[in-house]
Amino acid sequence: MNTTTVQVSTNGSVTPTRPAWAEVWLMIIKTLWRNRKSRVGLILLAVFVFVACTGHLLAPYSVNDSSFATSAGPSARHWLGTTQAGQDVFSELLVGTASSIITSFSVGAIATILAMLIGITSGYVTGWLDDVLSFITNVFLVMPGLPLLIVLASYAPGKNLVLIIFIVGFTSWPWGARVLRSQVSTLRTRDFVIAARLAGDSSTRILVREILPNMLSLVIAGFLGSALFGLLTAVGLEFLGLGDPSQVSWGSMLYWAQNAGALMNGQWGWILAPGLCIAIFGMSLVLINFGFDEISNPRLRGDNE
Amino acid sequence: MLRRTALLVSSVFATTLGVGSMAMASTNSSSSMGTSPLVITADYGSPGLTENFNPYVSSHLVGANYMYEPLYVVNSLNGQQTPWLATSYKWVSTKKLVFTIRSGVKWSNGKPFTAQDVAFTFNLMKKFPALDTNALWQYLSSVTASGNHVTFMFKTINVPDWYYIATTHIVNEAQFKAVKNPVTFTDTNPVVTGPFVVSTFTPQEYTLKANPLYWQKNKIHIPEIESIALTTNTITDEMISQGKVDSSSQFVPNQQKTFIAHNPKHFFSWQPYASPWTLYMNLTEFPFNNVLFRKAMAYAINKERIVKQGEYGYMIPSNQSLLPPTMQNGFTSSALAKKYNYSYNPKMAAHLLAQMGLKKNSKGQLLGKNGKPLTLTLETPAGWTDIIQDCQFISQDLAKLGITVHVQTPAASTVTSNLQTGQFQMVDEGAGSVQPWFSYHAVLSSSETAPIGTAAPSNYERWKNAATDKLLNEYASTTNKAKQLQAMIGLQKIMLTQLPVVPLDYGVWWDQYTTLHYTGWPTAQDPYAAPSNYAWPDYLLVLTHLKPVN
Amino acid sequence: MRYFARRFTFLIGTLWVAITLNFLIPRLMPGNPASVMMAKFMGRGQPINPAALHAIEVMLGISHASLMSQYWQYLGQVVRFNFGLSYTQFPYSVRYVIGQALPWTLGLVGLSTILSFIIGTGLGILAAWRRNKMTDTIVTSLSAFTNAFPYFWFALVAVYFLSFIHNWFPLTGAYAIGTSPTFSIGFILDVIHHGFLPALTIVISSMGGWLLGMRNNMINTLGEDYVLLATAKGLKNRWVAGMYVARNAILPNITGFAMALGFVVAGSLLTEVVFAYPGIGYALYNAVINEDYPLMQGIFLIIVLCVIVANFAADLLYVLVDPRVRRGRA
Repeated sequence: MNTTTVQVSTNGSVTPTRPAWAEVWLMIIKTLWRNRKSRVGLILLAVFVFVACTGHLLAPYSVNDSSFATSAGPSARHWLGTTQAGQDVFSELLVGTASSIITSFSVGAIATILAMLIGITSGYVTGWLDDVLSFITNVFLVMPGLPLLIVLASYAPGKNLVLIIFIVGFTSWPWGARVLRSQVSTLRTRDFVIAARLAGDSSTRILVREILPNMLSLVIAGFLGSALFGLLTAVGLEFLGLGDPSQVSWGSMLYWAQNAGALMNGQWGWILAPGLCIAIFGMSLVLINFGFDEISNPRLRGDNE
Repeated sequence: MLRRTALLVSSVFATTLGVGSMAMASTNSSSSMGTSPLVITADYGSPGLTENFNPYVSSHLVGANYMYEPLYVVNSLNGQQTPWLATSYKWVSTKKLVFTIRSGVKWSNGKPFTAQDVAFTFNLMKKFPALDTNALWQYLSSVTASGNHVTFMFKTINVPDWYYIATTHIVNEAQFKAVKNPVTFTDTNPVVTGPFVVSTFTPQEYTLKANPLYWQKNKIHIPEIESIALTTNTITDEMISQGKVDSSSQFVPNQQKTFIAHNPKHFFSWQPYASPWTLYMNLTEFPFNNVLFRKAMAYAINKERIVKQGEYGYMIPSNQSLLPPTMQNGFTSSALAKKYNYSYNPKMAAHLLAQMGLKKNSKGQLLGKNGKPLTLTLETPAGWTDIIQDCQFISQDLAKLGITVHVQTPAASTVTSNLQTGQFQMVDEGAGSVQPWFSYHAVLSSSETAPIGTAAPSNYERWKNAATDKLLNEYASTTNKAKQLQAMIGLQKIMLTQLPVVPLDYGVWWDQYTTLHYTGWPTAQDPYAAPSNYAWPDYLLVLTHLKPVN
Repeated sequence: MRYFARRFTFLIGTLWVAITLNFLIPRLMPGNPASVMMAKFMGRGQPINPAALHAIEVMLGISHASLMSQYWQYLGQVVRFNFGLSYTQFPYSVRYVIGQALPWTLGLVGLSTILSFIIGTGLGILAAWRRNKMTDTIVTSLSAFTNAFPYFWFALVAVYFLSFIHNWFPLTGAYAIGTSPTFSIGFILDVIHHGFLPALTIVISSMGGWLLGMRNNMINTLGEDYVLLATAKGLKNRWVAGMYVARNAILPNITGFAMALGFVVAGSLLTEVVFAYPGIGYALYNAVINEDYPLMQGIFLIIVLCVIVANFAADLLYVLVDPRVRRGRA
């Protein structure tokens, strides 16, 4: 069911907005689970989140333990071999999952919040404020992300995870803002919103109770998109050496592996494993988004079987 | 591993989109006719080479070092002097130095080389101060030629500066006189005295051919040098492991396996030790202003682990003298070095810290003067992966003593700027210079330091000590070897007892070579020159030693 | 016309923002790149005498004037495409270095983007057409995967296997070592041989986006009334798809494509780094690691300029292909 039609049926009445939130969530989860692709995505994501939470417990060794033979290939004791400094690669992979996923989700969150603030405001209001916000959105939309980030990161005084998260987050919101703006400006003229306004509801109340529930799927889809973008960008920056090399993450693992000539040394695991983890984690986000495409675009339904 | 990129700003590229023909000089196609070219990688082509052989511009191609020559070639490993464009020199007084110029040398354009060219070279630097990158005119008052003599007059006594004078690239007067601005001159067609002249140039490679007019023609058996642009380290590693390059001078991770094992009969590496990587501490603040703390650092850091696990076993732990092992002979006292042997001893370190009066809290954290846990920062530039790894080891070592150390990796310029202005706590950086006196002068002289907030040239830790300055001065103002040795031992003793800085491990001269096409490379048995192909002026010795394999 | 004027104002406005950012970022950051450059010019740790210091400052265009007057000077230089001298490739100018690198990027990434667009869109049509069949499932799942993997990682592995182990492709560069660029068949073939692997990794990792986009557009359009009508009228399916659906569904993808062409210059940075391809991305990377600030700024501006111009072209294209825009948004 399309959420918009649910709302239209409630028409002008102000009261039944609260159940709408729960209904929206339930509908999203149902649709996602019904769709085979997004179901696979959800399961994969759950696995990664589990590893992220328990990685340091699951890891056979401490990532600070550099007492092993250096640059060794895979063995029974070290499934993915050891680093040039004698750390266990498999343990790094498990422990690094947390910071990679935190990076990904934090970027997604920052980008989504900014996109909502700017996109929704700009869509709901009219006049100069809309013009200004749209202009800013469009400017940032055409700013080439990676080069801008590289320039910013290279000037930055220190290199750490929080910094990377913030600069990636602050440069990846415009696409979401543009989508949200157009959605809000459509919804603004719908009957149920006009009715609420006529009933004397405040703008905030209308936004939170009437408009937001109707774009929740768009917001979450935007979040997943930004999270994927954030992960890939952060990994790219870390690979170039612009991240924090002391922080164990998938991106910094690739950086160290590349610098230690892992491939030339025959250390497959060290290069392949982090790359595959990034790809599979990213894929889980893309797969979940298939389900959201369906929610926001009913014509795509029927993809599941 | 990027440190060479950072240290040696080479690599430049130029010209020729659409110009020139297909100069097919393909790699190592050792034709049955004649000798194959010497293939090297020496310049970073990022993204391509730019054509620039002007030896005074910092971004010149390494090839300039194979074409221009100095008055003397000085072995960077042990200071051994070989007369080159000069046949001898003499200190008439400590303020007057006279070189006798070699006769019979010709420029590559056929004109004779004269003492006038030498005097011109030095006076050019006076006229264009931006060319005087070694600040020679800070000490010189005049350079004049008469007959086959060139006379250097000093306004400030500085005997060691002989080194920088003797190893200056000598240029052709007629050529450089015609150049309007030698600072931005790219010198694409150099007139030289050296063994090679420019042949071809593309952004990916340049070739030099043997100079038919060279004064030591009988010593040159290389018809052509092919210098391929270094791109990424990985790709260069892959190229050298396939034997496509005769000489390469870069950091190759785990080279025993990734390079030598591919052809153990012909692939070699001899990497002698150079100046040490050193822990700089800011001596103007607590706790570094206390010598007990600095001694504790020298005992606390496991240098053995740094060289084995951080540096692939390429380096060795350094002693406290600051000089590379090859230079210690004849400049320091080995008895002293033995007496003050700061080998890894965490117990001793803990004892020294206790002696300072530092206490631990219940969590085992060492407390500072204000009663709060002691937390320090250790900086090293982003991208220097091996040094970053070393710093992480240092951080772990100090954690065992209850000191929290945060490793920070800002951009290289930020680290340099922090060092210069004294806005740092600890930094792991290379210390020292080409010759022993310069090493001590750079790190210890109060003339090389500055107040916090003002840029200090090289005495970053801000060591100010009258006795040190006196010893440096004594050495610089005498030509008497025995007096010089006395001064050096005095300086060594200050390093050993006061520990203004803590040397960690010796840097190395990076080197990979093959004997597929040429033999006669410098080795541990025959250390006639530093082996790296970027080593100036050493590589002139290598080029005059190499012989083709039949 | 009003639409055109509005877009043009936007173009100028964006450009101004980019130029100003480019001016401000290095000046707001701590540290002093200029003093570091001085250090690079000094042979040993000696204080250069003031005359030398001043000579180098003048040469590099380092100014101690007020921020405002520096800004005006900077604007003037940018208008003339004068970005000063590169630090690492001194005394060559930033403009010269960019001029050397730009053609390679335009060629490699431009061609790969076009290929990726054609292949991705084609497969997208196929996937929509064979919706929920085996082909569709395989193609969409694969593109979900390729969309999500770090393309530089794929490039690394590809170089190792195909170039180092098997020697099928060159390890590095844009053309064979020892050759000079000419317009001969041999040289062009050589360039293609060198560009194949980088192009392949770009195409594989970027076509997923086109594929998924086109598939969704197709499915949307297939549900439109006029398509249903055409089907009802008894048109053969193949005809409906070819003539109506694909042609309409491709519209949003085409404007996206124009945008993507703008991002060509920026998009392949990591691929160029892995292959040491002498393009603009690799130049930017090297400028960053060697702290060549003038080069860095120059390249960034060129990249922004390309994107903005392509964006403008995309807008114009949109007007050409979809007349509704002229009235609707003006």
